[in-house]
Amino acid sequence: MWSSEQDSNTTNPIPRNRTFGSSSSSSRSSPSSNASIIFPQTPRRSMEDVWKDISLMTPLQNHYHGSNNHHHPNHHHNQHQNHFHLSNKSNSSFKGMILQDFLAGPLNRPLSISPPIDHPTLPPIPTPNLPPTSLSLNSGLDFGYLGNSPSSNSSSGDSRVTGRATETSSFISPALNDMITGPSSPGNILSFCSKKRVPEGSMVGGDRRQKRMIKNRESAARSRARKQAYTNELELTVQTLTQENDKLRKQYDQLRHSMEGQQTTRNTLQRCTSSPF
Amino acid sequence: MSRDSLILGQIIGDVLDPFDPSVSLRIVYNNQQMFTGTDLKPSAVVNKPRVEIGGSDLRVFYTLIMVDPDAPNPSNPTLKEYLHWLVTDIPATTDASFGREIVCYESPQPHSGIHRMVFALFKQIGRQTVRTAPAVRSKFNTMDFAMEHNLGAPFAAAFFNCQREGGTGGRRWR
Repeated sequence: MWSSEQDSNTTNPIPRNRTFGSSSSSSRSSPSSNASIIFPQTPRRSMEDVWKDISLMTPLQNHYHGSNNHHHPNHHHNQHQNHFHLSNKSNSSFKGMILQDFLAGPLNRPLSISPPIDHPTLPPIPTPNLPPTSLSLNSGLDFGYLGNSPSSNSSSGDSRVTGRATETSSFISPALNDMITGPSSPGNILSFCSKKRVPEGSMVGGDRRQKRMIKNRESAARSRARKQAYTNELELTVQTLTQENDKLRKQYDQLRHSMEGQQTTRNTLQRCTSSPF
Repeated sequence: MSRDSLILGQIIGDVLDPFDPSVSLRIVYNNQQMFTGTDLKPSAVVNKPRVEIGGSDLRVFYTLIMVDPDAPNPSNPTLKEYLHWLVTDIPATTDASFGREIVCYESPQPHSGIHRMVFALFKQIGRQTVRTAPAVRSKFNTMDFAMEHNLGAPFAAAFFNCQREGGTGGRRWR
């Protein structure tokens, strides 16, 4: 089954070749078609099952490596082909991989997740074949996107859609109807990465993701620094003000006492010199 | 103490070298004192603030520099630093209106990100030691400028955060 798919994959023209390339893209398409068939019938599989499938398939498809990138939640660029491919294969495994890989870095993805596992409705990445104009930019499978069914990519699609099931879901649904069967429903399907349609190699996608991640970290660090500086200053001010307050209170009390003392003396009549006449 | 806020906010490092604050610097926008690290929107800082200098001797003169080290964007500060205000010959115990405004106050209008707007106070060795204004406001370097004009280390500093008027307020930690 897989082999047949692969053949079909290779024949599928995929205009965009990510670095992992044509083979992966081709493989992607096949799984999708299979997936479409499979989906309706396969119930949700556990991650272990999927993972097992993947590991079995691994030796067969070494060339699929690298497509794991798309699992990064942060980075939604480009990854489409690769991860479409991956998504088909093993959604659950991706998930597992994603977590580890995500931590390890974009290029650590297990390569072989080739065979399109019966795609359970597991992690998201459905990449429906959208008309050529729709390009999928999102690279990664977001865990958030889970759910659905990798759609079939068969044929034409250059577009790999990954990512958020936001605006494009409506866009996708008509296209998907044919392609995607089974669990994937428009609601589940991930939509394109909304704004970024940049045709780039998958390598660049990974770099972008890394850069984005770094930038995000820096921004977070700046925010923490701001917060600390503000709190520190606030505490200092509170301290100064409290001290000043105490000092002023003391002064006030002292003054009051001395005033009272003076007043008592004033209540009595006092002799004073009068003009001499 | 208040120097810690400057360290935490990375002012010491990005803009100024480490120093010991020795003169009080009080910055008042719209009759409200500005504490280091607060957030002010551009609408609040449209007009120049009242800057009150401490010290005791009227014959000592100070230079006040206001820069934005996060121009145009904190994650990509290509114009670092952007000079907003430069006032010299401010006598101690007075405020900035008693000095000479060499570079007039330009109100902050950050386009993206949350910018730190830094005030730095330097003591002059004499009067009229700072005469020339830089040609452009961007790519200013406070420490280099201080070195060129024999201003030495800063005597006081403060900063606030500014983002564009419609900004969302940054990450949620308040």
